[in-house]
Amino acid sequence: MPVLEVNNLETIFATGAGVVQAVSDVSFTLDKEESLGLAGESGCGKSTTAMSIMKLIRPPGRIADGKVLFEGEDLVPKTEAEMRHIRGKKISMVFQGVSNALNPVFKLGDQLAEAVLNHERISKDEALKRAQDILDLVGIDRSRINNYPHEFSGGMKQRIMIATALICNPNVVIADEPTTALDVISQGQVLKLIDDLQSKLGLSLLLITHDLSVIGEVCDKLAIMYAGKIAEYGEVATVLESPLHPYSEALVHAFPPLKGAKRRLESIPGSPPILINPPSGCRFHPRCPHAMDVCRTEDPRLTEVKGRKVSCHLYPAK
Amino acid sequence: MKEGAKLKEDSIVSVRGLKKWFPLKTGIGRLLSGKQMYVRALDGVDFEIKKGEVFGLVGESGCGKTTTGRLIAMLMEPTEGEIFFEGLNIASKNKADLKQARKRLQIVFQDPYEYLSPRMTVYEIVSEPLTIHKVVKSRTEKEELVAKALQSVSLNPRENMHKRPHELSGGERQRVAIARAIILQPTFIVADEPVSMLDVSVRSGIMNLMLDMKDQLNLTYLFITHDISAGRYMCDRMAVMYLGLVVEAASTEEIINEPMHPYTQALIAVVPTIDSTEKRYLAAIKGKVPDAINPPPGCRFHPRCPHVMDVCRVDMPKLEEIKHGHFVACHLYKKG
Amino acid sequence: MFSEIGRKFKQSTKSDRVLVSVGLVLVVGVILLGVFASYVSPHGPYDMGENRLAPPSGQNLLGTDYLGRDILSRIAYGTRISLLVAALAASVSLVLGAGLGLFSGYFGGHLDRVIGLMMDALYSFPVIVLAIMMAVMLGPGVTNTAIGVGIALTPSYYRVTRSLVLSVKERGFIEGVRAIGAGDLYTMGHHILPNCLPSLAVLASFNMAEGIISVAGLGFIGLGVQQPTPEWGADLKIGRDVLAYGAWWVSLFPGLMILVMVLGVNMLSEGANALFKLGVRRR
Repeated sequence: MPVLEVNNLETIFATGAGVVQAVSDVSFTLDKEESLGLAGESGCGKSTTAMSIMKLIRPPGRIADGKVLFEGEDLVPKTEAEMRHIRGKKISMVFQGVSNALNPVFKLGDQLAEAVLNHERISKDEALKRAQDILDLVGIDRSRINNYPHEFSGGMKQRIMIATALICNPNVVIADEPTTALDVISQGQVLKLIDDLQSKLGLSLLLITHDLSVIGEVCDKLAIMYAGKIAEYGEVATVLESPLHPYSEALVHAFPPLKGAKRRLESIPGSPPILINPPSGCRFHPRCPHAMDVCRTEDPRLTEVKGRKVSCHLYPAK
Repeated sequence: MKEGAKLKEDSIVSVRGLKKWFPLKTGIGRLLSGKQMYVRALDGVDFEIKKGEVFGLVGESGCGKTTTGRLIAMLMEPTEGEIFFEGLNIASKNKADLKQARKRLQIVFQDPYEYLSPRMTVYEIVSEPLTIHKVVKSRTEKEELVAKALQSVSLNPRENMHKRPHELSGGERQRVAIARAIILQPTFIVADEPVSMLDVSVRSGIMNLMLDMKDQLNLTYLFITHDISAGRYMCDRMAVMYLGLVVEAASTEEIINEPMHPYTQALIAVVPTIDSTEKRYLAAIKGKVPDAINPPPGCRFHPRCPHVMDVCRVDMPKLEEIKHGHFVACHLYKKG
Repeated sequence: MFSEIGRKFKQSTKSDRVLVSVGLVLVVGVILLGVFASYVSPHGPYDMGENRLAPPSGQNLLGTDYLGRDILSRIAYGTRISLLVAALAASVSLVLGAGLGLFSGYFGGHLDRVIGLMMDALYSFPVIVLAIMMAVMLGPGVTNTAIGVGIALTPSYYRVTRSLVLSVKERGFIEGVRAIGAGDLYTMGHHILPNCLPSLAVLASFNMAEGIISVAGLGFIGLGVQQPTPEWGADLKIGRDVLAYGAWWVSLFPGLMILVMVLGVNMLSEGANALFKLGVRRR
């Protein structure tokens, strides 16, 4: 049984200007000890999907349809009180924007201990010891539990965020752009850490980022999102080496290669649609070089093709 | 490079011994010790940019690449050193010279949201250089030049001239910024991370635009970036910077395929790339960039260098031409 | 711009809308009284009559003062004087305060520190005290009152302008404009000042109230506009002198005018401040 299964998730935001269809019919699975990359550009709905899984969507947003099965149980109907037992303890999230997540006036140890004490009835001393253990695990000196957040560099703060997410031994970690703000070498160090921890702790990882090259080296599976829907979904190597959906193909070829033959990079003219009144049919059709008549009227469904799933009329369901 | 050496003929920009130290305004600490502390953002940088090339300045944050760009664009004055642009020393303080130089040397910034005046229309933004330098008088002439500039960046003039920045996407705003930069027909453009804040599929459009414009308008670029892969796509030559100094400078292909400085090697080994699913992050070296207030003695990279020797802890290596066109500042290599 | 004002109006709270509307009515009402003074006044403001200290009647709707002058006419024409002086004072303080604030904030350094110290010194006085000091130094009369009150109001414009300049100065587009070759004066005039104007306009209306009170106050103690020129404060003074004789109307109506105008201006500025979310603080 997969540890996390998202089925036909639909999340909307009812704003004054109209209803924003932020996430539409999104489905994927995350197996135990697997890592799945959720990729896409700004506004594609990847962060909203993560927040939906954690049930952190607040009005005017809400989950309109679909199921989020965590270890077989649907999270969507759960109450806020029930979710509080799950967040941090069973499913943890590492957010974007590292420096804002720590309270500058409290010591590091106290903040980590607080994360534990929210979920477990242990003494403060025990919680502090757990904090020190987790710092060991992320490669920060134990003695620094008495330091304040401003005494740490960006890379270290990111490790602290990871430590906070792991301190209660969750099964699933959702990381939203965990290394985007970091330098190349710090990014490498943090990714190495995540890789290490995954194998040591048997974690399942949902990695959200726009950077396909990072997903390439970290993840087993990849789902590419566009305008709130999944365009392509499959094994990382399969999707990156031979992307089928016209958007995936353009996106993969928009990344400049480091080694290998130099070729002219692709760019996609136009902009992603505003999701208040998404285009009829396929949401990518206004920008697609292969758009056909059916694309304007019918929304393609996610179909199994050549070892992965694609939602595109070029590859119709048999 | 020797001081006072003759300016190379085909160089459009020459940087010699460039330093920029920012005084630290500490409170009690400074009062007690009485010593002025500095952030040594740039600590003696040399390089040449040839006419018509795209020269890359690559490095992680705090290496001094942005400071270098700002100095060359005359937005700051150097603490020491010289910057020659078309033979003129623009590091000198002669305001009249600088104003003339500004017509030929322009800059495009990283943030397309912050760097365009929010209350002005696209027409007003792109024509402002014409107004400031009093280049044309009549409104019709201005409109023509603005329309031409917008066409060069593939923006439809009639559709866009009356819009304001908030009505445009990130990529469109950056095109407006580029149109403004080229309207006075400059010869050199400093591009400071021009695509970092744009979506990936938009980045390629802007990079391709810049490359096309370089040939059409006879431009030379200084392309500043932390993204080595983007640097490889855009640049003919690259200089790698670390903690205020250039550690290696060579053709792009040599930097990528035959990096010589241990720091460059560390960067190239760890940077993720779309054409490999290998776990390149396993090659990450330890440690972080030290602060620029008290840099390590000797070679600034020595605390993290896998090949560190005794001399590295004491002597700062000089940037020398080890192979033809390939400069390295490292004790592992001897000249010639 | 008007469509933006209209939109903001629709989006505001009821209390803000009431504030702005009532304030506007009061202020415009008073201004119209001044503009159409000659139509409203049955007599001239200087015309002395034989009917001295007469209570309100058919002939003199608001009564007469100790020289037989019609109170209504004096108030109507007095409106012009009061508004004129307050407006002059506002102009002086706006130009001086905003000008100094602009240079101070933009250039910083020693200039900023010196001007700042001077402004802080001025700011520590209540406006009326400063106005009195200026009046004593410059002498009484319409122009001097305007200048004196103007100088007294300068520090608040200075502060607001300077803090706006400091925040706008750091915005990226300012660096962008410098990069294309803009000089300091051009940058200040074309890019920084326009960003300050909305807040300065609101501050100007806050200061109008202060200015009107100061002008009236000076008139009341005899240091401002002098008799026989009609001015609310000066007329309030003679009104007070004859209060002992039971002639309540001579002081009531000038006082009421001051009250209405100040109330109106305050409501208008509070409302506008909230409406446009400018966050300008009074003084």
